[in-house]
Amino acid sequence: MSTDVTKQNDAKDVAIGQPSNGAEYILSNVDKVVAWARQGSMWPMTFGLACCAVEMMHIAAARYDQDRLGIVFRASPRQSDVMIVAGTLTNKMAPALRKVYDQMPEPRWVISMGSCANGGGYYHYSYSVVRGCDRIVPVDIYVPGCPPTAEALLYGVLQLQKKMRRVSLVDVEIY
Amino acid sequence: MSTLGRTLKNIMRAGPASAWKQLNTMGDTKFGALIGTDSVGNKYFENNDEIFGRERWVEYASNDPDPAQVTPDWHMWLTKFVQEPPTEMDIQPKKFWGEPTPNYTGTRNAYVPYNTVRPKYNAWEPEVKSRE
Repeated sequence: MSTDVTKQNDAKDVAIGQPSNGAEYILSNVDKVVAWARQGSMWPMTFGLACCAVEMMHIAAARYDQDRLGIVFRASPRQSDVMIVAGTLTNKMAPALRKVYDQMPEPRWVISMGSCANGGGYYHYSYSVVRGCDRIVPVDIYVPGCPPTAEALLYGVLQLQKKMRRVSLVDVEIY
Repeated sequence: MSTLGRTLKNIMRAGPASAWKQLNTMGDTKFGALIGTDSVGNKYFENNDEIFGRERWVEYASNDPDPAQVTPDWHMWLTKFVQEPPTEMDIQPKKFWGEPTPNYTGTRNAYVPYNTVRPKYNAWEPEVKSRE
């Protein structure tokens, strides 16, 4: 394999555009500081709905040890930036999920964990299950699996950190 | 896990430049034997004096490290699938083996799904009727 593959995943290539003038150069460096601060202390709102929640607990435990990444589970949506939707989202739970999401302060992200949260999964044809939590809240990272291992969820968290690094303040303003 | 003495000792042994990179990526200073380098330039180390589960580690060649950049042969060694490194293994490449690819999500090479058949259903277009 050539070394091109590594170069393609370099931070420079991930960025949407290169700074072309002084103002953009300063802004992109401010972006880096903001991204550093955000990714260093992600506080997830735990929305454990089913068996995926057990795997979610594992990343808090000794082996995967989320604390070393600055991740601390918060019980209150008012203090959290990331929501991990872990498990089957039923029609009955959907309004509560949306309410909790609305209570989270900006900026906020959502990780959809497991087949059921991604698209209904095993219960896709059930009369009482939402076919994917992206019908209720905007999702940033989808972690596949039934349930995903704690390793997979942690990899999803690392992908979300990568996504935070790609955000530029100018983009957010337009949004 | 880490004490001040151990940190200083490893900075001295690994060298300041290497230790700085380690602190930025792993958040720890480590020193061990260089077991090998894979085809993309990642370096693999081992030190059996570390606590269980931290004996083997990788230093990425990329500026934006991602576990998916570890090539499959070294992934076996890194996760203790096998005892000996792939440099000492007799691996016969099969002709259907492709080149190892990292995770392209978020880059320009990301996979974008597409559909080649006609849509199977008509989406609902909500529409508010005016009151008479």
